Amino acid sequence: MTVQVLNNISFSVEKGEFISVIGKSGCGKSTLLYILSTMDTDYEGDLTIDGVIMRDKKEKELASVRNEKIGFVFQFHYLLNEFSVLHNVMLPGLKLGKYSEKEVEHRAYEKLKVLGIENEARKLPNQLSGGQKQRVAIARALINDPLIIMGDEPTGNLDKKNSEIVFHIFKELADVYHQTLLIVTHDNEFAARTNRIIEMEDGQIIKM
Amino acid sequence: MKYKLIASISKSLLFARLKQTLVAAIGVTFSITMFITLLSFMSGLNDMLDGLILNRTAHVRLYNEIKASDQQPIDLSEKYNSYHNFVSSIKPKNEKAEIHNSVAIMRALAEDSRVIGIAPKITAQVFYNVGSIDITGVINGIDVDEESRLFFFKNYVVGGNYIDLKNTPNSIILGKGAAEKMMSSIGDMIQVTTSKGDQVQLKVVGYFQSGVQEIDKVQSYASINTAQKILGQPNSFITDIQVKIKNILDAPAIAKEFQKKFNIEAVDIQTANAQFETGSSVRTTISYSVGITLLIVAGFGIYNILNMMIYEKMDSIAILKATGFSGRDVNNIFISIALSIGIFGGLLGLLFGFGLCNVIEHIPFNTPSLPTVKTYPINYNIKFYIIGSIFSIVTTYLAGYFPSRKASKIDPVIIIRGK
Repeated sequence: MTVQVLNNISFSVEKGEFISVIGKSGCGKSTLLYILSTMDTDYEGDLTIDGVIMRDKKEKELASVRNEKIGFVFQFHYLLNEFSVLHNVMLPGLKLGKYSEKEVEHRAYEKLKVLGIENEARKLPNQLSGGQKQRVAIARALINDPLIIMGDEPTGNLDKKNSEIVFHIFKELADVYHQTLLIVTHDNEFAARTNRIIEMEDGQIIKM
Repeated sequence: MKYKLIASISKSLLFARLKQTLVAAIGVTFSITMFITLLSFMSGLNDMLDGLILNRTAHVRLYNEIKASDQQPIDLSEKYNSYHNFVSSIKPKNEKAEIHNSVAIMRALAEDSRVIGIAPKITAQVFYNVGSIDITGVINGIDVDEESRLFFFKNYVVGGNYIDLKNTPNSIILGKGAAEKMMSSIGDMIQVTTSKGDQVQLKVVGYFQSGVQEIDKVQSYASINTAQKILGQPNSFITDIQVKIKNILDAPAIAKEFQKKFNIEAVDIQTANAQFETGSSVRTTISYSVGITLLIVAGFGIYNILNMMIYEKMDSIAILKATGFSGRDVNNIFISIALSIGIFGGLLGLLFGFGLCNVIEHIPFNTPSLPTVKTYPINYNIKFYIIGSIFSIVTTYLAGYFPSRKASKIDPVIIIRGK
């Protein structure tokens, strides 16, 4: 039995935009995000990233699209506890293989510096606070200079103070580095401060 | 670069569950150790038991069988060619068990490139005289040097010196059992009666012990000249020619060839000792199946541990896939975990197996029936080590294959949303 979650959705994101997607639970915003991120392939219609249609791409090709062009920040940090903070950030970069290991390490360190947690680089993730972990996750999303960063309630698990820090990081990325961001959130206050809000209800976009 | 990345991820996952990994590796080590030890020991034992008979048996034995002629005169007559001829009570011709033209045959055999060596032999039925009692026996007249070189005669001489048989005229090496029955020791003179009724005095220069008691009670050895003298036969008299050939597997074909060529009976070792072949192959099969069973059990251990690891690391797999690792990469990560357990455990197993074989080789093993064996026999065949390592890699690969495939199919969306 298949249930249609999304209906008649069509929009495009320009480079450098900071967009938030809001809506009530179950309205389909997470499903939308996972389709946009190429991880969910069970859809009708077309998804175009950087001018390339994603339909009919093989699993391996989609994996390399995610690796190269998309950065993820989830509600939970999903850091690998076996690796140091620095190595966690490096992993997608090593997978991409565009730079040597030394360069990837340098770049990872630079990203951590931008996010103000370069002093924690050698620690293991479970030695960090929740807010710090989320910042590491953001650094990991940035390592390959992705075209877009997608976030699935990145502040959902954080307290007020840390949410604020994460928001300011996003804001800074958007304003200073012209990083494109698409963030799904519950937090209307967070959404209100972004460039553009897409509001969803019952699988449809009602305002954008 | 990419392999290095996958290897480093595998390594950290391995070390994250060090205890379980070690248990899995120990399983492989244990099974490979037992596999190597079992096969080396079994095969050593096989070689020893086979040697008990096969080493001392000619690969091809040429002899003259006393039997009635296949063709009776009436069969040769053209007149009765199409008749059914019945001749009853056929008897063999009165002839000796001697090999005709033995000198020429031996010369031809010595020139054959497939032959390692030949040892002529005379079998003489005698009675050992113990007081007024006669004990039946067999004296084998042998070429002492060749018999020693080809069939390890000297290994089975337990008392006295085997070479005295050649150097002392009219000497005999008694079977251990026969000597006990006759209560004769080295240096004594004994008397034997031949089948023709002649009585001969012989000097005991040693004891012979084959390990087969029934043989030792009956058989004795004398030099070929002494045997000819006992039987009152000329120098060319020989009843058997024992041939040792280079490749034992050729024996049946060569036996057939000689049979035709020399017009003589020839029997090969495989036909004469079929039961030993069967025994060896059954023992080998049992050891292989036990060894492989152990390996399969170890494989299940690895399978379990990888499955558990995959459940525990579901999040890590999901994020790896979300950040651009393909299903193939994840598959490779878990396969390399399985293989490193297999290779590490297998290598240790080979070493321990070798060590254990060494220990067993030094355990004393004294049995009266095997005078030359002092410790347990071990066969250090490189073949077992090669088979062991191949099996350890193949089973761990298979054990890793299914969990890895499962891991590569994990859908990151389900995991990430489930939180």
